[in-house]
Order: sequence, then C-alpha cells, then structure tokens
Amino acid sequence: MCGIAGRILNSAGRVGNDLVELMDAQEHRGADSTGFAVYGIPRDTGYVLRGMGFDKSRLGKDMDEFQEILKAHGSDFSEDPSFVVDDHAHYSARIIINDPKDIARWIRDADQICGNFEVQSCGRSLEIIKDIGGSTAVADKHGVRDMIGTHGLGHARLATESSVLPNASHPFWARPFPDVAIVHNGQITDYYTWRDRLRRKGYRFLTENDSELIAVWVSDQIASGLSPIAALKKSITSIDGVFTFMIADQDGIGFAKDRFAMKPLVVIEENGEMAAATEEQAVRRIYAGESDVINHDGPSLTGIWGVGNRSLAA
Amino acid sequence: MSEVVIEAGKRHIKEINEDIQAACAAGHKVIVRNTLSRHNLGVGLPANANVHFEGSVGYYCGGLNVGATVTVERNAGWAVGEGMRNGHITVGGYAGMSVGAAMISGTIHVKGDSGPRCGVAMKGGNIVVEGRIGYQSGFMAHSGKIIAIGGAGHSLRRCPVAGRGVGGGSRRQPWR
Repeated sequence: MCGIAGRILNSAGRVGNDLVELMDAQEHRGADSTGFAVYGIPRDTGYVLRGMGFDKSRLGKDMDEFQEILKAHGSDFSEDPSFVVDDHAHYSARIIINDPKDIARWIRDADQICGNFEVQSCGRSLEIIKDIGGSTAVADKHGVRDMIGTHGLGHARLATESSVLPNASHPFWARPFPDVAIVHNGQITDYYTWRDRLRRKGYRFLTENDSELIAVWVSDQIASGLSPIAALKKSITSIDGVFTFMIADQDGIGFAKDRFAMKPLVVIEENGEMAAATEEQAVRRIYAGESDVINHDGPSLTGIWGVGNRSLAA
Repeated sequence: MSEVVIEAGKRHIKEINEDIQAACAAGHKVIVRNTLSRHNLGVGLPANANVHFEGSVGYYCGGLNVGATVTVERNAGWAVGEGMRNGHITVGGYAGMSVGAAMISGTIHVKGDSGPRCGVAMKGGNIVVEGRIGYQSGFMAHSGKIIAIGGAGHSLRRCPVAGRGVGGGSRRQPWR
C-alpha cells in the first residue's frame, strides 16, 4: 500500500515536524519502514551527507575508509560526523564534507565500500533519514521533528517488491545528483530492464528496491536536456507499473501518476504553501480547517510546486 | 427525532461507530463532528438511521448501508457507500475514487464531481453526480444507473459501452 507526503513552507520552519505529522496519520498504510527527505537551509559550499553502516562494530573502520576516499578526491570531513546507534546492527551517520573535485567520481569510489557503509543522500540542503519501523519510532530515534527546512518528503513503506531492510526504505536519493530525492507509492514492473539500461550509462543502484529506479530515471532525463515537467510526463508512458511518486530538489516538488490512476494524491495549497499526501486525513493534520482539498484522482497526471518563487530545475 | 452529537476525533474507529450505532438504535438523528477525514465512518448503518457527518470523511463512509440516510457536508474519500444494499447517501462536495463500489441498491447523490471508477462493479441502485464523473466510470458494472449531469468527459469514450450514447459534453447522460 505505502503512504507518501510532501510539504512546502514559504520560509524555513519546522518542516520536519510537519512531515512527521503527515506520516503519523498514514502509518496504517505501512510501518515496515519510514523515511523523510528534509531540505534544510542550503550551504554555499560543502555537502551534508546521510548514510548508513550495516555493522556498528565496524563504525570506526568504516569512517576511516570513507575519509580516505574523500581525501583522494580533494575533500574531507569539515565537522566531526555524528552517529545514531541503537540495538540494531546498523547505524546512521550525518557527515559534513568539503566539496569533492567531482561529486560523481567521488561517489563512484565511495560506493566501493557500500557493502559496509552506504551514502543515502548528498546535497547542499537535502538530508534523507530512513529506518525500519513506524513514523513515531523513526522520528524519535533521529530527531526528525526538530529539523528545520523549507520543504521535504515523507514515506511509509509496506514492502511489496523487495525485502524489509533499513536501506531499502524510502526516500531514495538520485545517485549521483545532489539534492534530488523521491518517494513512491506503487510497484514498478519493468525496473530490472530500466536499471540495466541505466547501468550501461554508468549509474549505480545500491538496493533491490524498484523505486530507486525512478529517482535516477527522472534525473537522467533532465540531465539529457528535458525540462522537469517534460521528464515527469515522459515517465508516465516510459515506466511500467503502478505509481504515484513525488520527486524533490532544492527548488520544489514534482509528482507523476500512472495511466491507471491506481494511487491517490491529495493536496492542499494555501498562501504559497502546500501539503500533499496519499490520504486526506494526513493533510488535515496540517490544515484542519476549511481549506479546499485538491484530489489528484485522475490518470496520467503531473505537476510541480515551487518553493517560494523558485521553479524546479533538477 | 431528537439529535445526538458524537465527537469523532482520534478515538478508535470501532468506538466511534459503536456510539453511532447505539444512538441510531435509540432512534436519534446523529450528527458526527470533528471527523478529521477518518476512514470507515458509519459503515454498516441500520435501516432508518439518519446520520450527518460535518466536514469531510475518509474511505468507505456509509459502506454496507442497509437503509440509512447519510449526509456528508463536504468531501468523501474512496468508495463512499461501498456494497450498500439500500438507503440514501448524499455527499455535499467531491466524492473520491470508486463511488458506490459493488453497490446493490439504494441511491448515492454527489453534489460535486466524482473521482475515477465511479460505480465500479455496481450491481444495482443509482448514482447521481451533479458534476463530472471520473475516468473508467462503470468499470465492471453489471447493472444500475449512473447519471452524470456534468458529463463523463474522457471517462467512457474508450469504454466498450460508449456506443450507448455516453459521450462528453451533453447536459444529462443516462447510462443504460
């Protein structure tokens, strides 16, 4: 089933808290795992990374190896990394780095240790937090309610196409495009074929999750010259399966819906701000009153909401 | 008929529905407030019940109805009146996907538009939509009537029964 959400504020505020509310209201749609993509206040230089190590007893060694690869690309930690460790085998890391000479080349090398430590987001402002469990558990563990930003995405997963694993949770980062993330409700049926095509173009996929494809597919189309809205429209006839997905970058959030109108999307827009979710009862957590709901119930729909006066330029 | 006001809020849906059922059994007209667009409100209402939902409701509102009169002030989510056997449901605003799914009899009246697959698998009864009905309306329907006053748009043109005179644009479009 899965539940997704998006939120845009006019200026930086408690977007983390809003996303947790949106996902808490949809926890019944899937509590295998929950994740958030939060766009904080952008940095002029340097990137914020979120990542996950799969064996906490290796934490020190993982970080040494990771730092060594950074240094080989003219970068380094610019602050001490912070970690979240609990009873699970995996741990989560937040790392601030100086600009590597070339992001794509660096992440290609960094991914050589992805069996031990996986980078799950990279951006001037994007931070992806994901873990197994329901929204409250994940939000409490990672302090999501306190995260400040302008916009973001949320996801509650009911696993269908691949296993319940901490790193198979949404949102997915569009590796290697900084600041691009997606959440997806549905199932993609031709993702193996598409991943093979994209791998031949040099892209890398780290999980068996079908949704990881969407982030890279849309970003690749935009990198090849399509406008964001054209890429979203093309996805409807190019990607096979059932989907309502939302894709975000620093400038806004876009969505696309499949030809069969299988998965809902409910939106409230007010004074330049917006809340979107799979179910109306979620957006009502943000706008309880008389605000009009837009039900994007039809087939083959796309749309983009900009942050402030910016337009999406992934 | 005296009125009873029931507060929905964040309580368990079973508890809310039991309160509604008890008030209906005692012969009261029921007004449900603070619905928070919750799912499954007023499922399985008895004959002669009269229930009004303030604001909007979530999925399956008034489903399995056997003869109650239900009104929703604003919007309804997916499958309002699913599987209903009798009664009358009025939605003041927009009704989402699959209005009256697999309904057997009774009437659903939607004052706004309806979402896709309106009347999916319906086996009888009437659905009256003052606005437009969505894509794939009447999908797998066996019998019954869908009246779309605002038109069917692209909904039925690609559908095998489109030859029965259901195209977009005209003022009143009875089907069957």
